[in-house]
Amino acid sequence: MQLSDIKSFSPEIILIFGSIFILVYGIFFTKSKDLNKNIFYITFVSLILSFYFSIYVVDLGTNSFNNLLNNDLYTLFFKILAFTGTIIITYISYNYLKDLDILKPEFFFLILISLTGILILISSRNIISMYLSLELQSICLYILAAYRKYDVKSSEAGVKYFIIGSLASGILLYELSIIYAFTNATDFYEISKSINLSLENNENFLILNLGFVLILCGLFFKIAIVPFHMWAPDVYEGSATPITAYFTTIPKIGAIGFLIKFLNIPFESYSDAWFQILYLVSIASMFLGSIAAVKQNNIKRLLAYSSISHMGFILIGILTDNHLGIKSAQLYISIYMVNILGIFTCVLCLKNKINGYYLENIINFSGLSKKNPFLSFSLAILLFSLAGLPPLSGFFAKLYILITAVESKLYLLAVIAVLASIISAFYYLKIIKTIFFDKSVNDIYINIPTGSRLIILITLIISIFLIIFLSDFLEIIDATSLISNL
Amino acid sequence: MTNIPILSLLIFFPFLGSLIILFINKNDKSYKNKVKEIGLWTSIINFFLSLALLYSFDKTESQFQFIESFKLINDLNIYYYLGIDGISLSFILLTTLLIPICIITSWNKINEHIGYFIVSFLIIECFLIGLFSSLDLFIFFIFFEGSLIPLFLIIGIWGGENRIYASYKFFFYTIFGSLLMLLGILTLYFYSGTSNLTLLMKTNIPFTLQIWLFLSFFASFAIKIPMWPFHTWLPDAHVEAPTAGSVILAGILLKLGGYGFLRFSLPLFPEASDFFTPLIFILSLVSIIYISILALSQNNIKKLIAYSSVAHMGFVTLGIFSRNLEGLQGSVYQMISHGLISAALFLSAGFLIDKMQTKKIDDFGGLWKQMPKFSIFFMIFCLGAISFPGTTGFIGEFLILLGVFKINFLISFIAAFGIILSACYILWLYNRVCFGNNNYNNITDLSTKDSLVFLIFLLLIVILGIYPNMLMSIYELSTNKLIIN
Repeated sequence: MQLSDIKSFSPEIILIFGSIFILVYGIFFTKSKDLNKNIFYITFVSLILSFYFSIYVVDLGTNSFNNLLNNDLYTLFFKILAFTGTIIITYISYNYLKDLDILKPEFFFLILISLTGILILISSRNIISMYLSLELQSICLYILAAYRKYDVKSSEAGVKYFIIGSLASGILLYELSIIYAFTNATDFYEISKSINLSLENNENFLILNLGFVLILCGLFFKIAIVPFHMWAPDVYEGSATPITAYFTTIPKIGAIGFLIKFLNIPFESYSDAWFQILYLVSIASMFLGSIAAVKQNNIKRLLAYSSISHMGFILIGILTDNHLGIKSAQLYISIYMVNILGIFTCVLCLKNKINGYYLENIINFSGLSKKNPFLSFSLAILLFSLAGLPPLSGFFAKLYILITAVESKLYLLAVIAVLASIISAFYYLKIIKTIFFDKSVNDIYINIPTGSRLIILITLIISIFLIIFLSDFLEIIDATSLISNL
Repeated sequence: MTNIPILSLLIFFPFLGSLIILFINKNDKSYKNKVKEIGLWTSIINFFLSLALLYSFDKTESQFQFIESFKLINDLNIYYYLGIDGISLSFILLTTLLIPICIITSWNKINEHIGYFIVSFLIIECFLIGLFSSLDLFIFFIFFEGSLIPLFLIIGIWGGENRIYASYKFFFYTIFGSLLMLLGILTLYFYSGTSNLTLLMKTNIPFTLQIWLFLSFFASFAIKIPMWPFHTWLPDAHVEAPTAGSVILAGILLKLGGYGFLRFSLPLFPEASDFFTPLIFILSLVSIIYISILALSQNNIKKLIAYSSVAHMGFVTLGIFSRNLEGLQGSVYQMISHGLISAALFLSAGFLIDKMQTKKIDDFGGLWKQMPKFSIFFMIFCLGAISFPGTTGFIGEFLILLGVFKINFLISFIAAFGIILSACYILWLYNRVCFGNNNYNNITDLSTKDSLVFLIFLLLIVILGIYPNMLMSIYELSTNKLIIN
């Protein structure tokens, strides 16, 4: 280990120290009145500090720890997304958990550690670091899913997620060992070299192919796309709402960022194979996600299915395997994150007046437009944006995906994407319908903290005015795209 | 005058107005009035801006004018590229005229969510003007589909009983068509490397590609106009929409289809247009005859007017695809004239429905005695709708029939029956509403404000009917250019 390794690992080190500090602080000051507040501040400061370090201190374009990790602009892009999302989620979950009186130091510890796992996953270039970081984040996520431990659904979510998740991890680990056995390498570039060599010698190992496919299955499980999506709706519904917001965004950002890299570096020469796999999987995700969401009444379940369908769209960008495609996937996931977080922030402002529960059932939103024009307007704009209506940001995300598909002459896929997006418009409209067209119910209690108002405003402005600075944003993506960083 | 980006000003001025409305304190007692006044003044100022545009428009120039262009998205070569010719100018004038009227007529009727209502209309105004002045396919599409959002909300929030069904139907029909068009735009873009309309007009597209592209554009425009098998969203949307919503729908939204055919389908895919002309003629004839017969059997006043709109739009598609001077000029004239007449008819219907609280034609009757002013206005609007000489409707349909006659005698012969049928259902409607036995006692006639609004329509319908050159001179050269190309 060298000094430069520590330098490039500094954001993760800060997060780890921050989280350990939270635990220690939580043990020694259990009776302190300001315990929760202080712990929130510690989390916030360590997030910001780590964010700062990952932008200004880490040397980009370098490898560290004997090529276990590498940092370049591409990883930085996904890390910035993950940081922004986590900061927002930390804020909204602080209010939510404090309100339900289940705020404990462990929560922030788990968030920080899982974020560390995601950050390492994004920058890993070795199957060892990849597997370790994937497990690091997954285990935190299992616990987070069961965080409301007295709630039956939450416990069920945790157990379900844990069992299926560990199965996926097991398969992943097994297949990684097969890859190591055949290529005798753990580094992505060396795996790629070794595979190319065997292809040149016309050696085709069936079991290597199988290993590759099963690794994809493991990764698909983590992103929750069809046919490995079964856990997602239940887990999303059972978890506490801000944790659902976390599940729908941050681990997916990490996994998508890693998936693009994984497909394009070690398995570059397999592109024909994974093209077909991704093709089918993306069609299945878009359709199942859209159709299954139509019948949902719980907004978390609905967003779970919709996120499956959005992941299907992102896969279109990935499978075209060119600069434009990866760029559009990056654009899509950033716009998706902004909109989803805005929606979750809005939803977390709504409570039932009588029993104080947070509203989750869509029917309970009825007549919100009379109660609070600001919230209903924001929700409408964000949902229209997710449905992909111009001139809102979600349209440009879908436009770029369609452009990619048409440019690669995948007309069938483009038509299917259009149909799926029409179906998905249906359930977004269902929420808007409930908010605006239905008769108002009197038992909505609305509390918008200043920070939430700010978050909603920012997401709203991004959604409406993205068209103006889209060009600049695309330039940023261009610079950070994987292919320009290879 | 040339340095001022007047088109952008026209587009974004209503947006500015709606931003101001968002910042008004809602707890203020005079909140509702303030919102309405800001909305009204914004739209009126915008109307005068469009008059200034008309004043500085060069009628002797057949190229696009008031060009504005800057790069919107660098890597895709998408430009924010605006410019107008005579056809777009006429539609812009129609839009800026109808929006303030919509706001005036719903002044006392809309009480719920008044802020949203005004904002929706202002936003729809900016989308519509943007769409009529955009010369880049992507920008056009953004404005085209963006207009869905406010209209969906207008039908859904302030509509009648069955409004949710109607708004959904409207939304899904339109989004289905327009997303297919988006695929067409993308294919065209990748074929030619540009989405700039003036450059696209110079590129030659192979015939098979033209066919596919034409169909994808046709899906969107035929639903919007609406043509016969795709028309079923229209009666529902019209019946459930509030009066102002119907006015916008019939007045402008239906014209987007015709405008799209003129602006995109004809110049970009000439051979495919030739190829599909017989199909479109047949669909138009079915629209005219079959829908007119349907209109005869309606008992809902708004539904009847909605069906008559479909029939009139059938004439427009006939005229456009006859592709000669008379047909094209006639169809543009017909669109503007129908924009005025159907808006006036829907205003009258809305006025009646508000007074009597019923939409059934059978429930009206004998209004002649109690509402003499209204009856006169309604009479003239009805005459316009049956294209009576002296009204704008006559000029449009006469020119269209003339144009079609040059191509095929039989088609114009059948289409002429449409006029007779329209006389049947409209006059019968008038008969049942204004003559006969009176079922109501305490009904007041038009107020001064309403009379003024009606008078504007009446004057426009009659003056443009007697002196068509006033309007036709604006777009004459632009339609000529379509023929030459």
